Amino acid sequence: MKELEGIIKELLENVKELENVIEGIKKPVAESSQLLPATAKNIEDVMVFLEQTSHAIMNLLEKIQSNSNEIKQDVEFLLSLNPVQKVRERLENIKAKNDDTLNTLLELYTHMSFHDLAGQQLKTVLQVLEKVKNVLLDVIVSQVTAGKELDEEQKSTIKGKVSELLSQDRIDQEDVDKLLEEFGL
Amino acid sequence: MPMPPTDIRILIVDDMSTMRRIIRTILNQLGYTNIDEAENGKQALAKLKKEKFDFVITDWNMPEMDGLTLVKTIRSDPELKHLPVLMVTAEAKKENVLEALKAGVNNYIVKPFTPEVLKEKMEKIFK
Repeated sequence: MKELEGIIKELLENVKELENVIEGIKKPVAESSQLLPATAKNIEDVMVFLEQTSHAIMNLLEKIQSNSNEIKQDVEFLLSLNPVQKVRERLENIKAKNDDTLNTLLELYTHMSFHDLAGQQLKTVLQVLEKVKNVLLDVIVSQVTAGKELDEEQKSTIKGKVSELLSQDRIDQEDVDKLLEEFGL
Repeated sequence: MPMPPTDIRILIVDDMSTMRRIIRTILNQLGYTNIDEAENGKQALAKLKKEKFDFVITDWNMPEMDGLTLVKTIRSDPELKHLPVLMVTAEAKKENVLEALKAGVNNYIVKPFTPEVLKEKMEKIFK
């Protein structure tokens, strides 16, 4: 009888341990399925916002540039009329200031390449997130397959299925349960 | 040093629409208006095969086909091999510049760049 109690106790301990393993698996799967794609989506949104804002700023710069080009033409026309000295001086001053504005605008344009440079850095962050996801995937798969007598082909199939799930925007509890069921959990 | 004639046909290759617009605006300001754009090397090659261009300004990092592959493909094509190519990129390491030169670019600009730098590089390429 005492022997039977011991067996039951051991069994209960094993069940408890297994429950902890299940929780340990469910949590990273659920978190990774929500956090990583959500973070990636946020970064992609920032990239879109940056692009839209950059174009909006460039639209305004183009408007100022167009006005400045018109001013340039008008001033050149007025100067060609051979105005009196005082008027000529004022017009030449306007022309110089306007040329300076056009050069400044061009300089501003070149600074707009910050969008491209920032975008490339953000793309790198996205790639890192993808790598983190894959590392997590390996951890999950090794945790799930630990202690199970699975051949390489089976492990590879499991990894493929987990990867398939994680490649979706997010997986729901039903997907997690199906996954766990396949591992006999 | 004289600049190339303003009627030359230029192809800008960059996956970032803002960057294409910046380069186009600077070129416009320098007097060049005969400009077309492509989003990556693959699209650029299709345009180069279809129409005649005198000058290509390309980024390095692009999806589908990057700038380096584009340059190599241009240099290996009997009809395109003499086409001047300027690389405009954020890749600023010495080995990147060497790799690009080895692939066959005529000159190299690191982003961000000024209109003066673009002008200077164009003058050097077309001298």
